Amino acid sequence: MLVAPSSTEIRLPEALQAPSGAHPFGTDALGRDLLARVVQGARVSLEVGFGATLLALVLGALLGGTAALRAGAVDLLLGRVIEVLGCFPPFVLALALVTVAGGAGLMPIVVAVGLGRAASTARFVRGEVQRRRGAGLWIAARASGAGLPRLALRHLLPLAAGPLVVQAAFGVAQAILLESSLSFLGLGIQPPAASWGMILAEGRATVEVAWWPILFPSVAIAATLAGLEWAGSLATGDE
Amino acid sequence: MSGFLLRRLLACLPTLLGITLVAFVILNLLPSDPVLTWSEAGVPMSAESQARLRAALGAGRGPAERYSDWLLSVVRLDLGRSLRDARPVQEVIGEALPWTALLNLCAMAAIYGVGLPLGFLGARRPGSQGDRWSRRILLILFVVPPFAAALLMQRLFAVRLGLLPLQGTGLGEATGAARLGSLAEHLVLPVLCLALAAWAYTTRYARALFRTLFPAGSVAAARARGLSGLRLARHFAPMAALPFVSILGAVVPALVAGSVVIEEAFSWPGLGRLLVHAVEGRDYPVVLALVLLSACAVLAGQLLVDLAYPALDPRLREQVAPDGSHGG
Amino acid sequence: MTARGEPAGRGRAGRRERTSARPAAILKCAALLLLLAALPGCGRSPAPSGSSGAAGAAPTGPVRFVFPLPIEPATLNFVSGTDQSSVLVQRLVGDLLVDHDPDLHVVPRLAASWDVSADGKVLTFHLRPGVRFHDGVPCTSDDVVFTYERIMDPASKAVGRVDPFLPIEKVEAPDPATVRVTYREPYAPALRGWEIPILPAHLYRGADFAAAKENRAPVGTGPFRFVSWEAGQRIVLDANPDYWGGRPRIDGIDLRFIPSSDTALQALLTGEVDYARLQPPEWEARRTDADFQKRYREVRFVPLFYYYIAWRGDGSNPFFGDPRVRRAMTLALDREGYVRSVYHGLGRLAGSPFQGLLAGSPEPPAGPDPASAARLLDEAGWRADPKTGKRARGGVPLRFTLLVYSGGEDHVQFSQVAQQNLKALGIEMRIERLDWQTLWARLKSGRFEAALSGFMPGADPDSLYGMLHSSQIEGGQNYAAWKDPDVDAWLDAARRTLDETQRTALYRRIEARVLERQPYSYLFAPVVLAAMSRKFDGALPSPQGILGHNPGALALFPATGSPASSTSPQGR
Repeated sequence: MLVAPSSTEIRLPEALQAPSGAHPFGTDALGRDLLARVVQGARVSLEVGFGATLLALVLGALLGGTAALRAGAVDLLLGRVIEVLGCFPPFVLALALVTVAGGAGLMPIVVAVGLGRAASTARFVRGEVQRRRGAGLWIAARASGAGLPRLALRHLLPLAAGPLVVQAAFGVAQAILLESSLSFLGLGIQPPAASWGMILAEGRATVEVAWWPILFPSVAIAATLAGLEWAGSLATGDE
Repeated sequence: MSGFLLRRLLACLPTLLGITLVAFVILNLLPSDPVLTWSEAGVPMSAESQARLRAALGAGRGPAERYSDWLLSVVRLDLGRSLRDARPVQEVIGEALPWTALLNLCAMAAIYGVGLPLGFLGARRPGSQGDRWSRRILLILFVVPPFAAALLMQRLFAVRLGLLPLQGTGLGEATGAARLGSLAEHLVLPVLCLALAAWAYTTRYARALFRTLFPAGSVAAARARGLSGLRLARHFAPMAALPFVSILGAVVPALVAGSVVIEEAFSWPGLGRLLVHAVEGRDYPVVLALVLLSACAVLAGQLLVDLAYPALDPRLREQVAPDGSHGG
Repeated sequence: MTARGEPAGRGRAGRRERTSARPAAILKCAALLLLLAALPGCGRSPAPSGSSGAAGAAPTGPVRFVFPLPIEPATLNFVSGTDQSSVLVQRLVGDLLVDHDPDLHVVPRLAASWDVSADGKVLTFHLRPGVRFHDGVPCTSDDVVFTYERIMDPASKAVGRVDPFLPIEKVEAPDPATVRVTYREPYAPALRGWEIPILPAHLYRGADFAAAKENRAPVGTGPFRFVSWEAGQRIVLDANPDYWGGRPRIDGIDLRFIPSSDTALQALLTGEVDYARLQPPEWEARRTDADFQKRYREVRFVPLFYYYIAWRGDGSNPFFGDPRVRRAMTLALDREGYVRSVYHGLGRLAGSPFQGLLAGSPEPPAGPDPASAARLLDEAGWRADPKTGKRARGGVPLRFTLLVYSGGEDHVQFSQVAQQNLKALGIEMRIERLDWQTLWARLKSGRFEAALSGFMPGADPDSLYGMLHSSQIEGGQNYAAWKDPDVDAWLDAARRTLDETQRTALYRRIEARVLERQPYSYLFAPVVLAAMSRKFDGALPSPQGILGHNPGALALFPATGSPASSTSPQGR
């Protein structure tokens, strides 16, 4: 079921109406249909969530994996880079990126959130790889003379895949939450585009009288995270 | 060991340098005008008075100079003065730090206090009723965004039920011994909000880790070998400590970041709020000091992890089955 | 002693059933939890012992008024502290030389009377005798001169207070009770410039002005003494029993820092504060709540404030140099609808820059007029393409960016309404949200096409000088870059005339010209609604709130039993 763009039209006289037949999720403070806004927000939140997590995964796996596999000076240097990424308050980074590249849509947010998450992924990957480096299977495989990248792909990745997917699932959730916090602080995407975080932030001022702008985006986030959790548990064969 | 420690500590220095450099560069990229620090937005202000102020503040030194000046003063343990009210940065941060530390330490206690035991139980009896229900509840708590949770809990517990206070730290409202009780009361909701989202993750991660560390039946096997009670606990203790340590690296930055929203919602006078206002007001000395501080905290956490892992690892390797399988 | 279950086997068998139940269960539980807390409740919590006494019982202990401040002051220095929180504390702890009453007329405070010389250039204040600072030292004209010198000293960074003192030639203190100020020319807004709290010279002289401890623990001659400042939490003030205007009838004021307004409202409901602002939807909901009405009384006032849009008219963009286009913009914006819906009618349209300052300003039109707007745009050459509906002139589409402050809810919301209004006319407007520093930088440098902001005019119409005079384009607040030599002349003349009738006539002319040319579109202002605990009475609302005038906090008294002190405040 596709919702037509005109459904997010501002209709001031219909502001803050409770859920009804005409507006299943009610309306927001400017009279826009909340269901349409939440659907719109889904695209944005998921784009930011998955985009940032993808960036974090790729960057983190590269950094962490390389650091753990190459060891020595490379490990030292990359270790520092990972640390710098991880210790930096995401808020400051996001403010900077959004200010400098303000009109560029979602990209600054994706990069800000992604960089923020990359460090924890990198550390995790590095830890996992280091842990398994001592395992018998790994030593045997190395002894067989196979090249590092291929070894990494064939032996480490499947073992690490489970926890990585959990990380990813958690990462998307964190990315969505981080993005909503940033929207909350006014650093997110430009209006009138919406993300779930922004709808929540807008609904905050009227929480005493209107529960629906808070409830429905929260349920949307909850449902998404539940879905991710389920996907994660499927992948790991865990329950 | 001490050589390793020393090397590890030295390795932190370039990181700290890198972080402060990046922060400084970022702050310099952002537009800022000292006039805004000293005036109110939207009030009539003539061009003449603005020009006078800018002239008084003098021509700025180059950014490179300012950065090296700042570095040198940090080495002398002088963090400079806040641009907002000319107080030493140490004083400004010193006022807010204990509050954030208190909040986060309690939150960590809450996170571990719930996450680890549940994770352990889940690993020992996966699929049991208790395991399934605890994970469902935790998942629900996890999926509620922190500030929505804060709003809802405030409404529920403070306004509707009147059980808990709404905001603040509670120290101003009681005297003597009652102050401790008041503080504890005021801590409940913020700590809950901070811990909520971390429980599901911690439990899940601990569970996964415990399951790899205790392959199915290993506890029973240990019991079968005659270990019981305290000796049983001691046998498994190093492995039990492992998730505690490795989660630390993730939890600390999450708490540092999560504090901002919670501190806003509960009017908690901590570092998160301070950072937001300092960045908005381009209060360079305070921002740089806070970035440095949070970096140190995170690095300390990681150092702990790095130290603990090798210490605990040899035993870990002993327990792993010879074929290297972990059952994950 | 069997192994505790087969994790793999049992798990997989049960998993299918569980996973299908899980998402549903989760959603149900989540929805229930959220609904439980979110529904408007009928349960009211009993007020804990935050403030003493319940309505109806005689107050037993000290009666303190607890007031929320959204921002913690940076400093309490009377001269360099210019944020609203700091100013509020300053007028409680310190005494202004002159003040204004709830109707914004100038009234005596520390200065008992004043006179102006015949040529209009010399203003002489006669100070009230017998006034002492909180540490017992008498307050004299020397303190007034010292305060003036600190304001004019650029090192004090008192940029917010300097403007009314720029035309001063010299300030003298011929005797301890007289201050004589000489201006270079007659200066109409002179008196208002002296609404400044007077510093204790004996404490600041010789000390580092920026770092003095009095900046965190101020000493003044005001009705309340400073007790403590608990960083991040509150500022505590006690009544000054020796105040020259009579002891305040409440025993003290607690100023709590509560950054968000919904937290402040909830604090009001639990009794932790005695005053809180309400958003219009909340107000609507509470009006019919009998219990709420029993515990709280309404406070309502129209602040000296409005939102406006500046159209950059210096030719840097092809649109806004033409007054017809600017007038069309104002006609197209649905200001009235916004006030009606979002403010629930609790707002005031701003028809002119002098809204509220000049009696008899023309009423703004009742609603948007897209037909006239379309006609004006056509006249100006911006015609709508019959196929796409978008307007263009000579191949250039009518497309621009509006800058707004991201931290302002009204800023962000109304910009979206405006976007839709203009879209209906074939105009494409993009919104760019910026943080305050960045917005300020763009405004200052003029690198923008349109910007939405707010303005707080002072009580004197001369405060519009910065927005309208061409000398204020470079480095000033004339963001629209508007140049009109007639208006320049009228503004300067109105500044130099002390005759009220003449001034009013001049401002009328300025107003008419501004409305004709529309360099700015003046939007609206919200009416401030607040609820105050019925434990207190006597609050006098004014455009500056209940505490921002004379008598201000002195008018408050506990509503039950006899007031703490029967002396009525003097100083009117």
